[in-house]
Amino acid sequence: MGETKRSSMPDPALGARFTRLLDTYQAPLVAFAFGMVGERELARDIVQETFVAAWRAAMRRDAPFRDPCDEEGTRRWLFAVTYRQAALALRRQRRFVWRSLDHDGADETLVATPDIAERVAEADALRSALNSLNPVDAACFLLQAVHGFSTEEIAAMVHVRSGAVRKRLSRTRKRLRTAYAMQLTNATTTTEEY
Amino acid sequence: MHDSSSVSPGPTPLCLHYRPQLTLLRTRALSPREAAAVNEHIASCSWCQRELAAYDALDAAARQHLASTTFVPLTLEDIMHTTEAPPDANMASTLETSGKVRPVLRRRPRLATLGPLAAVVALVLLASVIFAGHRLGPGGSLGGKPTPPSLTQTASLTHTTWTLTRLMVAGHEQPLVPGHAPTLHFGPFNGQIYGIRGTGGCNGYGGTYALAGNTLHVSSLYYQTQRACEVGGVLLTPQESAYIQALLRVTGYHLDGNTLTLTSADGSVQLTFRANG
Repeated sequence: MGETKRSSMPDPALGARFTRLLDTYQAPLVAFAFGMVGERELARDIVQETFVAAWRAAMRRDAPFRDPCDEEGTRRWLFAVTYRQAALALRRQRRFVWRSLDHDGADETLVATPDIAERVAEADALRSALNSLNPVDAACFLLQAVHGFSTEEIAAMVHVRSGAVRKRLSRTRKRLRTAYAMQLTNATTTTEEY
Repeated sequence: MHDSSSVSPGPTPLCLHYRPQLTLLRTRALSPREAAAVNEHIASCSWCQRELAAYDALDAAARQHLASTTFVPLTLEDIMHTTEAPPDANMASTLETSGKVRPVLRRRPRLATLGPLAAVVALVLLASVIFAGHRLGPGGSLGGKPTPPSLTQTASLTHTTWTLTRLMVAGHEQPLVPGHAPTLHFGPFNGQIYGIRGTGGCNGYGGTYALAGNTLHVSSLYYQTQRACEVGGVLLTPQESAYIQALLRVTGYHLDGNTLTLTSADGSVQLTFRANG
């Protein structure tokens, strides 16, 4: 029993590093998870699970925690685990459905959704549009546009080829741009009515 | 955002040809050859310029609205307590088995288990404080605040302000509008120790950075405003967008006197700043 306790006793340097990781990355990770699942509390739970996995991996000295200077690898690892955990949560809610990249017919359905056009708040409109997307597409967009990952990094995180990431990014950006433009048009019209 | 889809003139057949690539121009998903071809077309096509501005605005809005959200921050105690769960709850291994789905549960600390836990947490925090205390000078921040691996280098960037003098992307120097060059200010700001602020030339932005050894990473960037600025007939949006995209790709830094150079991992992005004041 005593041995078990000793083995789970954290290295002080590791504890300090982990505190820093927590402080630096939890906000962007929660925002990323929130963008995927659309529920703030669920997003926080997902990120909590991510850091639990990170802590265990760090205790085992697994990559990328073996090298204290591997900030890039650590960041990629955290986002990748958050993505997978969010995907699991969505699948559990039966909201995660794989769709063919060749099926682009849903574009017009998305932008025509009345509640998006009616929303005046920009953030709400963006989130609504995002939550109407396939979660993989949403993740690709968020990882690229908001968190600055490259196509190759995203491909490794979401387990698809980089060509498929490019397709998803193109499709998602077109959809979001149209939805966003509609929201702005609607906001302008609403303002003019007054 | 510039939404001018209804403004004439409409797209030419060449525009329709380049449209898929134009969608991806800011994503780094295009090859240098593809990007050069699209840029060449855009330079002489007002319709595509408006389209690109619309995508730039979408990216700016996404960074502003989707980069952060309000939530109750997690603490090391939360994480360590949850790790007390049985080893088979290890998410990293569970994630590899795509068929099995484990519910996401939040485990709150229970009073009955707080004794041993508190001891472990106290030890870790005490060690952190001792380590930090050895490194921080007077006025250094303690008490659960993040402790970067190299405080010497952090200190060299903390409270410094820089102005961009050169922006290189994929071997091409991006034009900067004189008098409206982007700026970069390293925090702390409002309790955010690793915070950055600045302007892209028109709009203010904020975000966080992580520093370890020679690596520096910028994340969670957001715009404070979403104006479209024009100086002498030159729109500042392309400069601002190129700067923010470049900043997000930064992985390393080099400090040499009054010059700060930020670079991407593949070397394709290089931002050169001079110190202000």
